[in-house]
Amino acid sequence: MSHVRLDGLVKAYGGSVAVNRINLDIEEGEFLVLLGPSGCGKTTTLRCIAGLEDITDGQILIDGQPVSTSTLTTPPEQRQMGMVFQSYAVWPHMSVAENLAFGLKLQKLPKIEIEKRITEVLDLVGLGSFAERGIHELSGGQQQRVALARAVVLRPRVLLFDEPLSNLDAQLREHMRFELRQLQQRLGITAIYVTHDQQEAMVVADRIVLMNKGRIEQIGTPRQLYRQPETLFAAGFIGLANSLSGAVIEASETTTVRIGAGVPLTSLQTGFEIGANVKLIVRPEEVRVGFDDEDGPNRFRGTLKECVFLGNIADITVMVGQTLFRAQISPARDWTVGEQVTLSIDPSAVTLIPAI
Amino acid sequence: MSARSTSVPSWLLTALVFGVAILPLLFVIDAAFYRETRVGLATDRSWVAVIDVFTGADYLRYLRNALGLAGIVTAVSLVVGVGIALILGRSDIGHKRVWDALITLPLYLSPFAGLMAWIALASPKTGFINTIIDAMAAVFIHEPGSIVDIWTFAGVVFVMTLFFCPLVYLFTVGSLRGMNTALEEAARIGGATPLTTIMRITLPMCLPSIVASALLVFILGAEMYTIPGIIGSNAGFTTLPWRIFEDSTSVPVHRAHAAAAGTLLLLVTVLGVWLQGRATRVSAKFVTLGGKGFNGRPLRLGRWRWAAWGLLASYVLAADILPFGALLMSSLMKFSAGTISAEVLTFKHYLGFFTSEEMQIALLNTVFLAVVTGVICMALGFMISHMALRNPTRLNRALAFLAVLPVAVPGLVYGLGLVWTFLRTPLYGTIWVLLFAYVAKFLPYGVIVSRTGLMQVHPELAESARMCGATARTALAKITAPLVKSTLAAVLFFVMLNAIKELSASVLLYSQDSEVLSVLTWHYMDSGDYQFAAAIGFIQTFIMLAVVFAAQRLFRVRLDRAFGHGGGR
Repeated sequence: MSHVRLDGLVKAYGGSVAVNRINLDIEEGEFLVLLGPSGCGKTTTLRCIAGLEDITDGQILIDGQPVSTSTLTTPPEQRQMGMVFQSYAVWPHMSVAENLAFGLKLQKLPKIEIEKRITEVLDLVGLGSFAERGIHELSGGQQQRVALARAVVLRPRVLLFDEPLSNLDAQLREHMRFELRQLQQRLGITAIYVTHDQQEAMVVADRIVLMNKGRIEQIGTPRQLYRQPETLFAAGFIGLANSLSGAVIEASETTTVRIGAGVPLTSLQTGFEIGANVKLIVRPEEVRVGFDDEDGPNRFRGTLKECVFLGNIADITVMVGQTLFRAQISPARDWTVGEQVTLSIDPSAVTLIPAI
Repeated sequence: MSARSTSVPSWLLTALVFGVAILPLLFVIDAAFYRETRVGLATDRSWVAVIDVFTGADYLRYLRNALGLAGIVTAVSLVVGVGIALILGRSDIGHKRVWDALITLPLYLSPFAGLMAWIALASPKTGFINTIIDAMAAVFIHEPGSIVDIWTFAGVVFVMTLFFCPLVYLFTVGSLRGMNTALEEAARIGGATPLTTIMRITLPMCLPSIVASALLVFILGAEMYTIPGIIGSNAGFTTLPWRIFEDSTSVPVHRAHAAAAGTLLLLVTVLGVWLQGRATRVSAKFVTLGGKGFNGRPLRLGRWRWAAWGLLASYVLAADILPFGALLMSSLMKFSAGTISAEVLTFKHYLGFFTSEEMQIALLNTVFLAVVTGVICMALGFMISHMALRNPTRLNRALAFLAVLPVAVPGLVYGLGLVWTFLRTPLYGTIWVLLFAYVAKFLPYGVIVSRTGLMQVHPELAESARMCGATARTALAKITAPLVKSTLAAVLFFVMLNAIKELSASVLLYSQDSEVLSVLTWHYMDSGDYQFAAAIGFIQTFIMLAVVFAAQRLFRVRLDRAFGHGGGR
């Protein structure tokens, strides 16, 4: 268990800056996810922490000791970290046990200890009877478990994951998420996990660091990121969002924004001046659709434009004035395109972001 | 501590590669600008040789001859090579593996030994083919004459084509095998006949590979002086490489002329290799990498089966079976005689070979050079590729570029440079100069082939070893190297084979103590002792066949991978 700290981390390749002044504290035993689209610098950040990349500026500290600065890089083999790679990177010319024994032998542990640890860890990842198997005899999921076991068997201070599940099929991926989280909890180890899959991030993370273009966009628990996105990017990247814009027409205990002709939308958020341009975020599942004629705040009449039946939910689009709202209704009922409907949104579900 | 402090070996290696591969060429270019004497160069500068070579009618005619010869050889090789590739890559002919092995075999053997064999087969009057046909014809007509004559321009084209068309075959069939079957199936579904599909879809898709192989054959044909030289000096035509050889070896020497003409040849090959590199890159785009191989329905040959079979069989007969048999027969004869009877047969050449100290030294030298060159090119090539791929600093990429450059240098020009580099040093005339030449000439294979191998090994495999506590060196030794060992073995065996048959640089660099088998065959051919030359050639061929067998059967090495698509020479 260790504490990792990134202090103004910069990584540049020639002229292009992949990671731009990142500050981050990863607590002991925390499961932290670096989330973002491809090219956002998340993998580069992870590789810098691993010591696989030299850093351009700033520093990385583990338990208060600097391991990377602009002039010094402690090589990866001296950092006592375990890493699980996207390509699994299990060595095809060795058996499962040999893969696991590689690092233990380098530590010059006694043979009995090596065998004991291998058995222990293979049981832990559910590959108890696979020790003597060759890598080619294993499925993708099993290879991934070997990679995990190989990282864990060395009892590292920090576990690093670089998109470990992205090569698995959807079903297995979903299953492995929970398993990874459980394993990390059981071992109580600090983990840093890179992924572009927001659902995966939400399942495993204590905290998510959302990255974009080499910078941190927002840090928070999965709940915070979903409920209180601080930027349009955050709102759009995590979950679906109706992203609207308008000008503030009333600001008191609540804020009301006019979006398009005759559509005022009220939010519980405050701190905006009248006339200010703002962006509004409404999650589709917060948009309710019914047939009553009651009036009230955030209630509008509209026309059903589109309806997609997805089994557990119906994904529908409603036109209010000139504005389109996307709503997800569960359980799905049969809708008719062209129907007049009433659309309502709870003011607590409207997130306002100052427009820049 | 970090990757930042590891550039010392880079600098050392770069200096070494520059000294071995580039410096001799600068000596050649420099030598062109001196006044020449009967034995070498004067101390004062002169433009005479450069003007003579680049503007005089003679040398430009020699260049035209060389390019013309190369052009014809390329054209014939294309027809035969692409034809064979289509038969083995697309048709339903049987025993494809056996055919493939027999068709590619000449690539690993010595063209010069092939020439000796065909001289024994097709010389006027004494050639085996002529005497056999005469013997049969004499029954009907009473005027025996020579049907085939190897000592002609056509003879040169024939022998060179035999050894170059497998290159066209290899490149084309590689492209055919890598092609996505759906492309051709789409044409068939669109209503095209099998023949139309081949002409309109298959061949155009292979075109970049075919062009790349054609350029390669053209360059090899244009720079070769051994076969055109031996025959041309009898048949009355001179190519530029042969003239360079003559200028630099027969007294009075014309060293500045040789240097200037060498520079001219170098310009031609550098241009050719540059074009070839472009064509190869284009062809790489056409091939679906990691393709599952051709799995479409093979083309039914029907009544064309015998024509296809005839083409394959004639090639194998002309390139493998007849030369091997002729070499053996010729080496067992007292003198050139068309008929084989007890009184002309002898074992004395082999007895002579195995009792002569000179021959034993040459045999040892050959084996020593082959093994050492192979190991050095494998190790250095792997190191250089690894540095350029995994730590692509500007210096490391420059190093890889320098190491691959000699691919564009004819062995002849390189040999001249080395002669003049080492002339006044104690190394001159020793085996070490040959080693120098071989390493520079074959290091590009080591770099190119190990690069292909390394690109198939995911960098994360070594990185995960680092994360498990291994140093960079341990990760290289325990993970990366074992994973590319089959590629490294291909480099080792391929370079060994090329070192055994190397002739063009060796002839310029050898001395009494540093003779090798290939030089001896040249030497005895030149002095007219064809039978002894054939015996040496047979022993040389036998060794090479043993190496090919060991590589492919015992070590399961895919030798043809060494030509690959990045295939230099």
